[in-house]
Amino acid sequence: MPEIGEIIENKPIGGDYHRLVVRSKALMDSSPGQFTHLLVQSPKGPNTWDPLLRRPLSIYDVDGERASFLYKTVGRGTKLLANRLPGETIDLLGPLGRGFKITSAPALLIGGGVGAAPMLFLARKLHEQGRDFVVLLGAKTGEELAFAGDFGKFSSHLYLVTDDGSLGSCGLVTDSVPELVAQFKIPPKLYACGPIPMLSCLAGLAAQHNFTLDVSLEAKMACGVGACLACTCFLKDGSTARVCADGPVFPYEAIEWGRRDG
Amino acid sequence: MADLKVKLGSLALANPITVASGTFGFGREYAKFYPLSELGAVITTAVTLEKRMGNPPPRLVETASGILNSIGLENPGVDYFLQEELPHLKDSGAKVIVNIAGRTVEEYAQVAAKLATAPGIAALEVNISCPNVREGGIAFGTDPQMAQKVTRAVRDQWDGPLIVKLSPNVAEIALLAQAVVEAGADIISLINTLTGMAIDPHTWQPKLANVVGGLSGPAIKPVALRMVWQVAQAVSVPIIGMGGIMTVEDVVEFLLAGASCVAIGTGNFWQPTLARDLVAALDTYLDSRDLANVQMLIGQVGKGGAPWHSCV
Ligand SMILES: Cc1cc2nc3c(=O)[nH]c(=O)nc-3n(C[C@H](O)[C@H](O)[C@H](O)COP(=O)(O)OP(=O)(O)OC[C@H]3O[C@@H](n4cnc5c(N)ncnc54)[C@H](O)[C@@H]3O)c2cc1C
Ligand SMILES: Cc1cc2nc3c(=O)[nH]c(=O)nc-3n(C[C@H](O)[C@H](O)[C@H](O)COP(=O)(O)O)c2cc1C
Ligand code: FES
Repeated sequence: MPEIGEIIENKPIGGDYHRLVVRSKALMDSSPGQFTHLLVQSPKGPNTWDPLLRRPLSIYDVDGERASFLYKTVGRGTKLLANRLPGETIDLLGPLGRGFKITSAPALLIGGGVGAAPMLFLARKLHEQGRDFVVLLGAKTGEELAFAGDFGKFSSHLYLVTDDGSLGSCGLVTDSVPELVAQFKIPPKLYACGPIPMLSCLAGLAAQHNFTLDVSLEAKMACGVGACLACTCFLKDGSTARVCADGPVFPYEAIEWGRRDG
Repeated sequence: MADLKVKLGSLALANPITVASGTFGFGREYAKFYPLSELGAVITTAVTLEKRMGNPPPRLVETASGILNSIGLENPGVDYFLQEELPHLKDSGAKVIVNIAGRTVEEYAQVAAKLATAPGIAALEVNISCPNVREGGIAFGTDPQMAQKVTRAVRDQWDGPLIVKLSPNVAEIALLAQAVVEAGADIISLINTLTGMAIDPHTWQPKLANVVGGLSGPAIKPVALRMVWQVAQAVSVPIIGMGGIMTVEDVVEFLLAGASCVAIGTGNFWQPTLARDLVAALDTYLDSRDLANVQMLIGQVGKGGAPWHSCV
């Protein structure tokens, strides 16, 4: 059911990133990797339906009735969202989609850019379950990793990588993966979210080294609930899947990487 | 409580609010939000003879107060529909209207023949206008003779109420309406999406993999309203109006223009409970104006003042 939540906090945290915290009952039931489809405009204002569609945002963290989101202002919708103020109401539809399947294996969490968003909630769950895990976050610059401190609550094994070397090591996240995997005594399960080139590179590594890898995909969404087929992605077996309802998390082997350009 | 019942020929609906084809799947997802029996009817996503994979992604672009889509009629095919989707839809208590599409006249006829064998379908809606699929759709909807051929072919297979859904991508919508009525359509629905395009000025690439797509949402409402009104002048069969309906005022405007019933499409994406909410809102609208039934609105645009003005 769509829910009218309340904005508790909505602040810039550096590098075009914002953290939004809302009070929501519905999101208390979410699991890592699921998302919320939200209306950026105030439910109280006169509606011009511009922008018309909801915006999908991964659930960044859930702590009791406090649900948070990490978002990057990239266009009209996210810029309007950045103007919303604490105390205002916000129309939330969620939790939606199928999240990460947590297994008993140790875990390597990989977030590229804003793909870090679903990883904090996953880190919280793994931490609560007392599991062994490592977090690897990458971005273009150090400024775009201003949120990385949030992970300190749940993990002491945090690796940072930037394209320009301004924070952590210099390079791409994917460069560090084989090395990090080698440090685990038991082969870890990899959980990843980020741009498509990063994910398909990881899929290549996983195929080569026999890693277990779950990826969270993005697609342009309209309904967000599985009805309109706007978000379809093609699978290896020749069938299609709805990123919003069958995903956004998929085992990497299921995806036909060549046919995705969304 | 005003009387919301409407009769579109032999198709009787508990209220004039339905949901537009392709925006509501086969009802499964939205049934989680409210009982589908609260709607006048559910119009399914287009069903074709064979399963279709649809167009490559991206299939969706947001535009000013609207969206462009190029889903490309992705659907599991008529046999799967009959086995796996129709049963739950019937069980939900909803009136089921099945939208059908094809690449050839024969395909339309074959789909209709299969659906005619299944009990529990209230009406067929023939999509002669999908602008997304290169092989089919567009030619039928834009040419009166082709539109008649498809209508006759389906008419031969289907005895129940036959709805033909018109494409707005024509110069004279009234000519198409007259043509399909002559060929046996009992009801006309309109409008389907307007063909459009979006280009990324940074990459110089079209924003849809299919290059062109269908525009829907509030951006198309004035065009839809004008076409409903023109068709209402040109033919005497009942009309299902749609195109950008988001509020109860929009519903009222379509009824005033001559529609007996409306369909909510893109609005479902904005608010998943919209169609159900509009049933109650229409009732409130009528009550607050002391209108006993919804019939009192149909086709009344420009005809005298609204009744509550007469007592001032
Ligand atoms: C399941 C899911 C979870 C997501 N989680 C997050 C999150 O936690 N934090 C976050 O910042 N973003 C997330 N996104 C992406 C986010 O939804 C888009 O950035 C947002 O919708 C853009 O809206 P806009 O109006 O600001 O941009 P628009 O004006 O719509 O577009 C501006 C630019 O952003 C690109 N863009 C728009 N929508 C998407 C999209 N869905 N995916 C990729 N690129 C897009 C456009 O191509 C364009 O270049 C997620 C997307 C999905 C599908
Ligand atoms: C995502 C999407 C899929 C659609 N699929 C179909 C379809 O399968 N068959 C059809 O006749 N119309 C289809 N349509 C058109 C709608 O049924 C409707 O005629 C149109 O969108 C205008 O109404 P709206 O502005 O309320 O959405 C589709 C529209 C959208 C947005
Ligand atoms: S966004 Fe509608 S099916 Fe996924």
